[in-house]
Amino acid sequence: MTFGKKLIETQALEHSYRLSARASTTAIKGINLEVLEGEFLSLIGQNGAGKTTLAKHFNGLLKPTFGKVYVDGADTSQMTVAQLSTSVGYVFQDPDRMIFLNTVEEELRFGPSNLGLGDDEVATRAEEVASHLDLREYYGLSPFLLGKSAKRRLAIASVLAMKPRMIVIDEPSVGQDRSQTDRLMSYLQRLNREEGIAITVITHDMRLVAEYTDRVLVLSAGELIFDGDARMLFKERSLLGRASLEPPQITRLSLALPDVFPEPALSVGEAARQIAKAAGTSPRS
Amino acid sequence: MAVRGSEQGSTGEKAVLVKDLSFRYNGSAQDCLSGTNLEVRRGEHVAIIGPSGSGKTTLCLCMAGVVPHIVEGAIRGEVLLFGKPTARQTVGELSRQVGIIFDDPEVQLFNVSVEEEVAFGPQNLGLERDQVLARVEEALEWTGSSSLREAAVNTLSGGEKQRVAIASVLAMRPPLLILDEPTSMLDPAGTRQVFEVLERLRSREGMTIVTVERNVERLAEFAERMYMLAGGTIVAEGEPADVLSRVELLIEKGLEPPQVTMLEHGLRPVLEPGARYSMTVPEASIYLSKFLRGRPGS
Repeated sequence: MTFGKKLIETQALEHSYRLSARASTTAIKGINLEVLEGEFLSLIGQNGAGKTTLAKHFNGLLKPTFGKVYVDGADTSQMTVAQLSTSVGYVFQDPDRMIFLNTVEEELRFGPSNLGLGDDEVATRAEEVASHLDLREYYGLSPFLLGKSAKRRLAIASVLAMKPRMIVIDEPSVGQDRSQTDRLMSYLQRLNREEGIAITVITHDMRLVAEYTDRVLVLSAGELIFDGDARMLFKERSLLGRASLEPPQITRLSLALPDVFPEPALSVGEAARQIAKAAGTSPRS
Repeated sequence: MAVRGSEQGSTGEKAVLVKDLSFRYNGSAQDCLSGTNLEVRRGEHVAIIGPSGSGKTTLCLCMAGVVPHIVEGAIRGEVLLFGKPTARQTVGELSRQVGIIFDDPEVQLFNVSVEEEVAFGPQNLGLERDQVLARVEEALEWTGSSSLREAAVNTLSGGEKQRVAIASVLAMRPPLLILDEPTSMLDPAGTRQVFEVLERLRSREGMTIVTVERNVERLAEFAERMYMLAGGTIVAEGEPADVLSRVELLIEKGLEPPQVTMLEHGLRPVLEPGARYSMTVPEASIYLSKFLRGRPGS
């Protein structure tokens, strides 16, 4: 994978929420970060660590209280969310915040047609995301008739159809069962690898962090305490403890068997190959 | 480790009995539940797993009496709570027996401050002021949200709202607690804390608990029995180890067995495992190191 130029840069970013006329609370502080085109990131940490606050600065939904955020070199404090939306698409946890049209098809066409694309291209993009996220069967239905899980996929699909240069998804696995989550993540991986779209997932699902993302950012009490790959992260026991993070079960097993696993395992497949090797047998499949 | 449910439920009375239940939402073309049977003994922690759209949430709504009292549709069969059919009880009667926590905390929070939110239930049970305050304090502590007591609900993060929603139901101390993906927005430490509180309420106060969860690893640790729902019917039931060892059925239905279970399943030709796979890291590491020690190559 080739990483392109700098897509997002934050300099000493700090954000405070106002609680009342006199009181405010600092959600994130001192964040210095660069995200390149084509990266696949996860943003993790405890509830209240500042994950969503940080990510909302990537497309101008929030503006810094102190410090700077640049998207494509432009200072976001001077830009509107609409201007930034072609660069960074944001999928909220709650799909009802994003859905408002009469049919699933209209919902999926809305973004691309606002980009000024031709009808054919609009239709192609809508169909493409619909088939990858299992929404084709609901095309003519009102989005409000969909179940929680399908509604959530629709919210994600409507952002993906715009093909922004970065997509932020807040909790991709919420409301999805295992196979739906894997289909979504594989599609994101394909968009990332083939079209160079940068992806940021905010998640508590450590399996996704281990299996899909190239770079992990850990926030704790508003500060960035780790920036590196998952295997490196899972070796940092005290840091994991501080951020209340628990590696995936298969990684914990590999850490409990250091004789068999010189390095932490990130997936079941990896662990199986290692054990088969230790047992002196060649792995099945 | 707590006493397992089979002994505790020896009074014989069922907290929940679902008998041949079928349900179709008004305006829907097909049954959401069809011929579902399930029972939960008093003081037991039962887990329900199933893919999206399998009817888990509808089953929860039926067990809590929301169906048929608030949500209507075509029902066959019946649900008994502590021996009485839900259809023949009032919403007021039901609310003293059963509390339900949804995956989306937004739907159950409606007060301005966290304190008011958590106090609302106990106040409506007619408790004295100091009892209400004691319940609020306790429920906030159980859910790690004491520091949020004075906060305005609309300033909370998703995970914090979920803790407050759980606290607001726990403060009512319902004999039966139904949780529909209660920790979908919580971090691992928060999730563990919630499950530990549930276990304490069950073992010390005899609370009956039904949990719908995707996190099967957590269920394997805390639930005593498990039902698997697919297409509106129960397709497997038993102890978690028995249900979760049916790896191929789980995968076929789009579910996620614990990773160590998947590992042992995938290594069958090498490992010669027994009828049940490991579900937890300690089980798997003991099993695998024993196995590898017995190999000449290691």
